Amino acid sequence: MPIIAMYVAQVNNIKKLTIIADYKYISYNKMNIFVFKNEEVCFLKVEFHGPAICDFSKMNADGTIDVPDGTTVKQFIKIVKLPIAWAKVFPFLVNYEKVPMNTVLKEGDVVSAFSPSGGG
Amino acid sequence: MKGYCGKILKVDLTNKTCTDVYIADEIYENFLSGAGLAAWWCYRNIPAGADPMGPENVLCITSGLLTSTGSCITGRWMVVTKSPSTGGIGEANCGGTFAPFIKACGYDIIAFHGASDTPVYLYCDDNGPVLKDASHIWGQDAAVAEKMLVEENTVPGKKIPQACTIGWGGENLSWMAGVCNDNGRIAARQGVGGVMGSKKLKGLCFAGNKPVSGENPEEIRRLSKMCAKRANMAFMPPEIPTGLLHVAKFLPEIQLSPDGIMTGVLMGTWGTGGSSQFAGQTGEAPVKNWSGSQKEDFHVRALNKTDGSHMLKLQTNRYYCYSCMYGCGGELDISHIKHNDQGYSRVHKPEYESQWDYTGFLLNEDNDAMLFINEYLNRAGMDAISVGGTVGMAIEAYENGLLKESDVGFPLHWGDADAIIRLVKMIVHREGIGDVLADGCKRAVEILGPEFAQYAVQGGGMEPPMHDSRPDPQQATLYAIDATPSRHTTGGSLYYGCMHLWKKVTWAPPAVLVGGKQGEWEVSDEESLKVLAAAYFKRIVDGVGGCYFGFLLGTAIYPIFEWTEAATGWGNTTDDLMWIGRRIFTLRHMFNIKQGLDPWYSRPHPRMVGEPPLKVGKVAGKTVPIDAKIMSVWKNAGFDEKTGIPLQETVEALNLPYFLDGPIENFIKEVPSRG
Ligand code: SF4
Repeated sequence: MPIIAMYVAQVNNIKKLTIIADYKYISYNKMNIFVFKNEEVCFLKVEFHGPAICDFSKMNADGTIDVPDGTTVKQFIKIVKLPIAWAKVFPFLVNYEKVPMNTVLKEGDVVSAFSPSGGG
Repeated sequence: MKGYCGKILKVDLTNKTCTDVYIADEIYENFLSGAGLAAWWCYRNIPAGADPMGPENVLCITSGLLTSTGSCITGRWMVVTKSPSTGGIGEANCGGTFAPFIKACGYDIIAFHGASDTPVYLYCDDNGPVLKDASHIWGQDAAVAEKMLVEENTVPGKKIPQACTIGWGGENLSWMAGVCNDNGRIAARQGVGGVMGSKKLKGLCFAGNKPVSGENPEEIRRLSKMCAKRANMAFMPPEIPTGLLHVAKFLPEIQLSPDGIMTGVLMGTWGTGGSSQFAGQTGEAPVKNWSGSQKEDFHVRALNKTDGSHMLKLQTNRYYCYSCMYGCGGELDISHIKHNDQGYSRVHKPEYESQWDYTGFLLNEDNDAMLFINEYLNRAGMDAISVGGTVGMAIEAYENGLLKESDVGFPLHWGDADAIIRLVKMIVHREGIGDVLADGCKRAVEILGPEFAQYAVQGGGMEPPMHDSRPDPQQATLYAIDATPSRHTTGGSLYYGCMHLWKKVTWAPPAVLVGGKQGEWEVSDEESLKVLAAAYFKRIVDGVGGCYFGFLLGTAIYPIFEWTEAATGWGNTTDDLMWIGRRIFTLRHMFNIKQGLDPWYSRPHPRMVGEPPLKVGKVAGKTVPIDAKIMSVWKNAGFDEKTGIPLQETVEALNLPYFLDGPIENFIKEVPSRG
């Protein structure tokens, strides 16, 4: 695979950005999970609410997580290390709607995974 | 119409007269309706030092500004009065079906003044109010009395009336009695039912047809559709395995960044009873009268025997309060359970509070006993939280030799289901030691002696609910600083996180979203503002008739601010509405001060703040710096930091002298009622 360039991005959460031909692979949490065709690497802020089993280490103080433009719901679930079964069995919402796993996230989206909380 | 009726029905029980009191719009614009308006009415009408059980006290039964306007989860009704248990403002809140019937008779509040010398009830329909004899229903439990009132006032072909009543607790003037509707849903706290009993008022039965609307009904409907659609997203099919209740065991710590919408998963399936596993496992539920821990005293096997899954097995259908599509309630068939010597069959599903109170809190592993006690107290019209706390005190006093078998009449040990049931019945009927305990643990200490105070876990005269404040400094502070102390339905760390108030209110700090919760133990303006944001917001919710579980869904799903604006058209921003919340919050404190309470009176019992801290369990080692927290909140509320008395500049900024001391004729016009 022709590697054109590789560097460590200075942006918040991105450990390594590998540019291969006209594709870019983001190595994120040791996973090559992301492919996109644009030349510009953009990052979106997505608000996330999830259970304490998730990886919150990448979360900003305002409760958002920076993810590369083009990230799908499925990829996002990997980013926050939520077991995929959790998202499938329990409600998993984007902007308070159920959406398909291949939905691409947008800036400002609110992603909510089930976290055990009730009242009474 | 701006959502409210603009009228209070003043019922003079001494002279048996009814008066329509027209209220100026500016009162609604400054205090909303519901509990806010009722607090203003109580401040203006209850003289300083009034005996809560005497004719000088005023009892307000009110629905909210948004009730019947087309908004959803806004069908609560509230009872506001001077509380016998705290000596300050008393407020109890209830769901069910009664709230819209108050407004359908054309009133925002029914205010009872004076006292009758014989049992009466108030009937009201489109022809106006009339006081009727209630001798024939006096002595019945709340559910039977309600059924009798509805039956005798039903006119074939016309709308079936709805009623609220007191049970044996209210008739026996218990400081732990409440007011019930819909077969035992109860406005339970602060002895409001005892006040009703002292007025010899058995119930209200309403059957009006007056329309209610807001200024912008289309917008209200649009918001309601959005709310219902979003809230439904979090519901799960009822066949999910009850194993879900056990996930708590695997969570490393309590949730940091919840989305309130997810409360719907548990609440929609199990109701509040689904919380017991989580609360037990995470240390949120106090054990053994706040002296023990789940790990040591109420092992997982016991927890599994009594969790919410057992109630689901008996559930026949879900229960929805008026205007609620959330339906956290349920009806159970308990006809075959043990202990059911009253022959109960269809009953309301116990809430988490009763569920934990009569299991883990008293170390009782007999789930049937909990189910029976819950129904017994509902029908008696008694506050399950306060009764549970008082029973806890009695058991601990017995186990430590302060109470003897000869005092109680039988052995009273932790977890003895039969003994607990027996004592509960004695409290309800004021028999034997039950007479001493029937007014709550603070009063019991006054009678039994100061050595009982160590076991009498209360704050300001109220037994706290089943939410341990030691792992949650926000909750501890709210228990202390609200004018109705020791109440869980205002906020706390998890609930503040769910509400997402900071997205709508410019000054509300965000909840801790990343990192640990350690910061919550710090004394800072930011932490105090979170507490105050929740407290002010709750005043708005109680003014409009909203439900606590609605606002846990979060402001993105439960659009209280937007609904209120659509109903009133006042042009308020969310910050403006929070300013109204602050005005009501301050007014309630001023009521307490007028009644002679020192604001420090509601400092929680040492156990509630970890003085000394527990040695075992999830709560071990935790102490809340409560005095510093209280003072910081007072400072941020514009009160004197040391005394807790609102500063003159605060009171003036809120324009309270005008509303509280200005000539009453400026605000009301009285006309004798028809009927
Ligand atoms: S959420 Fe539950 S308590 Fe609140 S209004 Fe709905 S059914 Fe009643």
